[in-house]
Amino acid sequence: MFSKTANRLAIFLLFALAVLPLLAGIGYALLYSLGVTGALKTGFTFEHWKKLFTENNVLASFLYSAAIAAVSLLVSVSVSLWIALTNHQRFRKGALSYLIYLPLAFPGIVAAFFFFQFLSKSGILSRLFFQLHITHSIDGFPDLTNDRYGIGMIVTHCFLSIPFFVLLFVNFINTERITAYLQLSATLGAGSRKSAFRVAIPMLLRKSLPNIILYFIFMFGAYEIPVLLGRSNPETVSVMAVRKLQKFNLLDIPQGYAIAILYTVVVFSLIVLMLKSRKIAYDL
Amino acid sequence: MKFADIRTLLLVIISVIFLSCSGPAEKKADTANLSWSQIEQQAKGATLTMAMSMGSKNINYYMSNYAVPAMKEHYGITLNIVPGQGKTIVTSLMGEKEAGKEVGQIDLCWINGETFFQLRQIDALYGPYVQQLPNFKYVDTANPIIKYDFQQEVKGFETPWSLSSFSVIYDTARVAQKPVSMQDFETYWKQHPGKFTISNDFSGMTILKSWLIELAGGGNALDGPFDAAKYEKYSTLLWAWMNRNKQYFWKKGETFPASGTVVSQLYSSGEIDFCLSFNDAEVDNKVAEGLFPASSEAIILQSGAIQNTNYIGITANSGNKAAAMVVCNFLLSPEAQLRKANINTWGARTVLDLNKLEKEWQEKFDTLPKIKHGLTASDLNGRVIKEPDPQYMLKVFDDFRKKVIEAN
Repeated sequence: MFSKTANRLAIFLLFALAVLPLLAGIGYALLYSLGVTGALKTGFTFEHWKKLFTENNVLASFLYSAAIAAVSLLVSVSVSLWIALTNHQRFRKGALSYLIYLPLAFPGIVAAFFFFQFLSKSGILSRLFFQLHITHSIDGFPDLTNDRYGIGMIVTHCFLSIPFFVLLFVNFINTERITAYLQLSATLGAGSRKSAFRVAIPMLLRKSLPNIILYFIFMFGAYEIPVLLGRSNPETVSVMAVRKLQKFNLLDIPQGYAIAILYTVVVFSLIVLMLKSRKIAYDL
Repeated sequence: MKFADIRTLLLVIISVIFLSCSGPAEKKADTANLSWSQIEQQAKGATLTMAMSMGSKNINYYMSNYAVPAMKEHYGITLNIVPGQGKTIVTSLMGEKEAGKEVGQIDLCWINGETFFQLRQIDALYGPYVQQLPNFKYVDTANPIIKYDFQQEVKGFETPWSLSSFSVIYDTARVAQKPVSMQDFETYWKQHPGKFTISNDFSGMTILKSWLIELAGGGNALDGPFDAAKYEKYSTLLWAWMNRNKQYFWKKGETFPASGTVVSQLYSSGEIDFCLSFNDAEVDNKVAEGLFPASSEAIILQSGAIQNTNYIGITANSGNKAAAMVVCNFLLSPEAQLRKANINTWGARTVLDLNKLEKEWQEKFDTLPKIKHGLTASDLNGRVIKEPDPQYMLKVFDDFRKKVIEAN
């Protein structure tokens, strides 16, 4: 009796505090983008959506954000897999087991500022190169922040996400008895390389797929890192949405809400994908 | 836990939600027909929220260690300062208006120009009330920069607080001959590629507006309401000039920093030779803090120094407008203005006409520490120009993105 009522209460609270505000927010954003609500509403119109697609590189923004997130994840997951598989014992005790948590304590904006100071042409690394006579002036240092290839953003994303994935993989190695499988494959004659690529990595990736997708969503929607380390063009989705919502022209606000709707659609699709992949992960 | 307990728990949760949704105490009557002593009476014990930019430690110190305690001590008013500027304030007030909230979260806001224009657009400011403030008699009302906020007549809807002049800061040790005209800048950029940039924000847009004015003939060429034909004519020249020269900008003009803070940081680290400022005492303050080289100086551009006034607005849905007026009156007092004008505390130019003050206050203003690196009153004499209509700002911001940033 108690658990049934408690369950109902939990569902009610989830609905009242999480689902309802979210749905209300999406509904409001949709109505705003269609000119139906808002202090400067004009009546039902597709004008704002049309403007968004004709006057802005909105598609480029979505692709650019996805590309930055995908490359960051690829680097971060690969490096984390390598660290976790080669050094997983070291994370159980000793200094490394504490140090690995350090980057996790950095908020995005602090990490972005740190890498701006570290990687820019007049930054710490550039000064060091100059002192060591590797470069002749600060202009000789390569463009690593606000750069064409998003290197500054990718490095910062990796700095923040590698410890997370290392801890996740180390945890899976221990709980899923990966080492036992590795020993088994070794006794069956597989080399260590083959064991890693055919046994450990597929198991770890499948197990962590929901987390990888969630992290993709997180990187895709990041704001502080691209606003400081990204370029003015193309912009990431969040930077573009905030510009529309918060900069000078009030008449741009409906376009900001339209971007928010598009973003929500993308994120929901990814979450559906994640729920499916979780099924795969648990079936394993 | 029994069902009755759960029902009680639910009741508590729902009540908490409702209570947290309801606004502060009752709404006080408007103040138009009250005498100043009645207003002061009504203000006693009020709690107010003021939204303002909190990006400078000098400004924060002035507010939290001087204005806030003074309001408490003299009038029993609790003044809470919250961060918020420009569109954040507009969005918040718009949201409250759309939700039909009679008593809002914000009572006072620090605004100017385009925010004033937007807040008037959505009818979110209270007024006219400024003439009722006893200290308003000291204000330099003859100054058009104070009377008009971005070409819009203020009409008593915001209290002038301080004057700010736009300037370009440069390092005399690195830049042999200071550029003033667009031609001078072009020459400098070609000789020193990568050493100049502008931010994609308010200060960056102000230098673009200054150049637009220079192209239009300088001085008051863009005064008056927005003129689309004029804008089209001169902005076409401006974008062509920018596109021709942006290859000599920082990062080859392929990207522009999002904020003026980043530009200042690039200047202080020596990556670029110039930065932009809208704060008269900024160079002196930053030199004193060791952030800028001591050889930094400020430049007035060929078109003149765009000057504007920043103001305090009272929101139309403030719960206690009388108390908000008392705060405005205090911030306008000779004592508060004197303290704010001191470059060691903040260095914001006063909006008061010193000739209207008593001798004692005039002397105090005269003995304030003088600006050494930034623009002095004599530098600015005859060189000040008004902000053009806010529509110019909106158009410049949009077109800079479309015609320069995205034209790569």
